[in-house]
Amino acid sequence: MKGNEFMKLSAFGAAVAAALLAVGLATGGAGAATDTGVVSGTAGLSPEVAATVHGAGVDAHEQALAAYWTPERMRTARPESEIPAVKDHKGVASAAQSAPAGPAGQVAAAAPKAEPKAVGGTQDVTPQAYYPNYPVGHPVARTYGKVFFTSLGLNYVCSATVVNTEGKSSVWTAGHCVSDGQAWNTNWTFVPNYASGSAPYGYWYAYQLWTTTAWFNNNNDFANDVGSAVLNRNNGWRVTDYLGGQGIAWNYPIGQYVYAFGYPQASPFNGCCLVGENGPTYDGGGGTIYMVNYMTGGSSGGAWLMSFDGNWGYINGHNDFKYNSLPQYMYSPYYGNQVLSLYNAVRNIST
Amino acid sequence: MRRMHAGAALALLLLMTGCGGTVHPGNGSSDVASTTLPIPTGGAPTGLNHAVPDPSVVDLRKTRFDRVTAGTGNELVVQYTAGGKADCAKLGRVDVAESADAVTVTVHLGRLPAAQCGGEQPMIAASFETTVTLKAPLGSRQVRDGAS
Repeated sequence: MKGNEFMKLSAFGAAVAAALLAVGLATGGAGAATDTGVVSGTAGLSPEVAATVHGAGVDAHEQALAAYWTPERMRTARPESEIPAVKDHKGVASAAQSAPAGPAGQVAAAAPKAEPKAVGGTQDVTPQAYYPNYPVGHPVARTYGKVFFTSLGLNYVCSATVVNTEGKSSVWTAGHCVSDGQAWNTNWTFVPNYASGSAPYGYWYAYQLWTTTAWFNNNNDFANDVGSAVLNRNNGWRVTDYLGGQGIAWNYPIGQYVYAFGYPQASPFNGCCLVGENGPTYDGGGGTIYMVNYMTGGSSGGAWLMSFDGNWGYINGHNDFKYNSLPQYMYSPYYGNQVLSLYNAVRNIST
Repeated sequence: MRRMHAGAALALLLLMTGCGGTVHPGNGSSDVASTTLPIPTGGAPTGLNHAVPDPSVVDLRKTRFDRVTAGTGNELVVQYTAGGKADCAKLGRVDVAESADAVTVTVHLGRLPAAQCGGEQPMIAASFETTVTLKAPLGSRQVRDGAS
């Protein structure tokens, strides 16, 4: 990133942080706690861990789990004990929504509990306008990753972003990156901080894939094309404990200034490296939003961060689809109640 | 590559036998759907897909290749990436123009005649390799992209 751009970005982040503080948004934990259709904070914890939770919200939950998962317990844990309790959620069906249809909510980002150690060399990419060139280990670089999966006998690539949840085990992506509709993708692998073939934080395999029922049943319903993958642990670590996770926000007005990242692989890109775009979002109609964003195939699932401070932000969109006739515009579902439902479904799952 | 193909076959088998999906969504009682996956036996599915030109493909457009390498004998292995819906980015034709000092390769992608491609294109991508045969081994000749 060029110096002047970084300055602009930092100034923007500071302004947003101040604005957030002013309206009290930054203090919010799990904004869904009062919604009757969603899970509450301590679900997914065994009784002995739940008893140790002090306070509410992501951090309290997370601290209790972190205290429970001592290195000794991790070493001796049997596989059966790692199977999470997955609840069957019932909620309001999401019609196409393009304006807040409920209280705006958000969960803040989390720094990792570990100080992640990357292996391998530094990035070797040609400096270009769209390459942020974050060093390995930068919070954006390590919370975004390239996704490899198989669908109908073909290997595909997508992008995904680690999202902060109580369960500390989930990445956020496009629905079509987990399901082509009516069938689930397989061999689903997340490679955080992927750079020119290297996997500095290893390969993380999906334990579960999630999407909206609307997308699963109808792969033309792009307003509901959101997905999430719950990842197996890697070397005993849950993905968000190890790398940190971005926040997420729903039911905010269209027009947020967002920073989009992803791994476009189709021409003129080659999938080697993280690519960035930033700008305001606009109403795309039919429950979608769009931004000026030249990324191509392979970028699907890379999050659009609002209130981005240069390291962390709130996922409020993602690279999702384009029309062949409009290569300059990238579309996303509008993040409304369907995002809240999906987030609530995965937030307490811990592998 | 052989191991990748075996992995894909296994995945297909698992899907067909129902082991790949344990949740049955769409019953109207839930607004989310999920499945549980086994860890891939062949590791991450990073292998290239294989493509053969399909003469039925229409609306051809030139697409830049990712890489071209010499194969065995007169063969040339061409790698390219297709974005969007699979039926809207099928390999139609690979043109090869040979001269004494250069080989120009042009990849043409298009859509299957029945595919509707005017609407939303998901930003997924799949990378392929396809093999073309030259009149003579590539040798030291330069490879040029007819799409750039």
